[in-house]
Amino acid sequence: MKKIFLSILFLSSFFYSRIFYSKTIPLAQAQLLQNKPLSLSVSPPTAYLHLKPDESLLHTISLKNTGDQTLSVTMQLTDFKPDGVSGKPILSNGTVFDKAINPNLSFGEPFLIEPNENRSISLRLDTAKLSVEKEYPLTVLFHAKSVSNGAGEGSGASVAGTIASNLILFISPNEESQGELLIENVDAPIIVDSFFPIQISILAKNVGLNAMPIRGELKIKNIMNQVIDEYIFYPDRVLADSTRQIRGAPFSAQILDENQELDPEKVKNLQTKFSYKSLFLLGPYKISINLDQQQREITVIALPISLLALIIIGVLMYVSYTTLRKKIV
Amino acid sequence: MKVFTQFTKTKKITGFSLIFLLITALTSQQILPPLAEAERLESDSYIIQFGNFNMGAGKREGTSYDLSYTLGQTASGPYGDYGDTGSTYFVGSGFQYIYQIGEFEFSISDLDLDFGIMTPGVLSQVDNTLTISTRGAGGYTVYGYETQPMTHHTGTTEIDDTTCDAGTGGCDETEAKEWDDADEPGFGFNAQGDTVSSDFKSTDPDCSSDSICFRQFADQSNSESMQAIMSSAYIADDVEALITYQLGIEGIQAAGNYQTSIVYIAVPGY
Repeated sequence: MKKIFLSILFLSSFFYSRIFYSKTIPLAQAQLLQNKPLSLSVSPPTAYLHLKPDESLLHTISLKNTGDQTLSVTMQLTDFKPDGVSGKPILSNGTVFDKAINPNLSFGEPFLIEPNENRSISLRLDTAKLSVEKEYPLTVLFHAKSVSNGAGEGSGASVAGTIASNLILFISPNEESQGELLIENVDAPIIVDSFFPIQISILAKNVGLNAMPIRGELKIKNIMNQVIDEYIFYPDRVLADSTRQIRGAPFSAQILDENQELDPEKVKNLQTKFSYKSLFLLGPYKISINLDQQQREITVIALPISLLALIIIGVLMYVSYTTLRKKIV
Repeated sequence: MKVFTQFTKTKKITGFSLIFLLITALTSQQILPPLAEAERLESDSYIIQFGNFNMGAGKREGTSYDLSYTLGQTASGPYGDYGDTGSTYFVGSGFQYIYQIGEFEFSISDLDLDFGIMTPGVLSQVDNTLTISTRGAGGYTVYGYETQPMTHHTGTTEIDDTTCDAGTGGCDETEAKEWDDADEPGFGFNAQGDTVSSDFKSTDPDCSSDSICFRQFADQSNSESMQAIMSSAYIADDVEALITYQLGIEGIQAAGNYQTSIVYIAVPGY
């Protein structure tokens, strides 16, 4: 468990609003509320914060009880490590913020949240004790359980749920982004069968100090240097000192947002393997990768391997057959 | 001819006027928002890096999009709740650079799992459903663990976590195996759904049939790490996983009720 000497004061005041719907709940809505003894939504799912040393910041998370029972909620803060592939946080065991190290740390008592109630939970981040300039991936956990849990008559289990909100905190006196993306690895064949697709996957590495969004594209060119296929990368963020597999989609103006980047809601399937398939591939194909400021070009050669193998097998069979026939005759 | 020349001149002037008006209109804030400001906001006390607020998580919605950002004020308290009716922005102090837009929602359909009165040689099942929604393309992971094995109400004896059927090589908290032999006591769970862990969809052993393969819950009291149960790297809209819990006791099991607590943790991808 990594110890971070970061003080966080959980503001005892919850700024919340009770948004009760009218007494006459529409049928569709009533159906939605059914069988949801524990249902929570949190916003934002992930926040990226930049803080200068010796500065403090108020970070607010909105928590809403979207279920039909009153819940008792307690908070916890833990750090996580990137999985290095897909952007999945790997939570560390236990809490980061050890009370022995941070005696002033207090997350307060459990609080109740009624159905349809919306609470804003504010965290004040104070980095006075934190001098190391780096990025801290953290997760705020909201542990919830029903206050009306009743033990059954026989053996059984009570179920509790926890919802998380990621907080990626970058401490630096520098106001500029210090992320730097490199192409860590390109997984592509050197030779490919003419009847099979060319498949490429790319791993990006952030060697900088803070999270960076992936920006770039992949182009496949034929022997005439014509672009025959093009993918645009999805702007997933690579955390500092970690890797992430690049995702993307075939380039099309229809899937771009106003910033000319992929709009996730317009893309049905983001791919981690970029492939090009044709009826018959032949000769060299150039794969041009443009990531951030870095470019790399590799060549894949398509040969009719299976066809050649078939021909060789056919010739061998014919030779064997004719030789055997001559011997028999 | 003169008339034609005059007509062409008039047409040119009208064309230039139209272009001028169009440029003026486009550069006004009514039609073209100040993108430069959105790209980078900074002052002595705050900075929004990378410019693109909503990158990777959807887009702004209407006039009250869920973007929380600061305006460099010195007050220390929040001035509104985003998501609240009538509230446009949440404003806090300090600075921040990117918030994912949208919500991350997690539901559990049943919190009281009651196996009833257990009989030796009979496997009892109950189930509930986990549901998850996220607009962020970073996806999600749902982990699960038990606080302790099924424990007698006196705290003296336990029902061990299942090791699944004999001959399967045994299951643990990381790998599901077949368990339908009623003479094999224990406690475990099965998960069915599009995004459940791959061991619940395995073809060797054949876990493709519903509720055939079971896993142990990671035991927190034994310092086992919680394990992923469902996971995806994509946007989810009410994605469900049906969790079936199975309990069996042996003939010499002490009479009485056995209880444990199951905890699910839903974590958004970044």
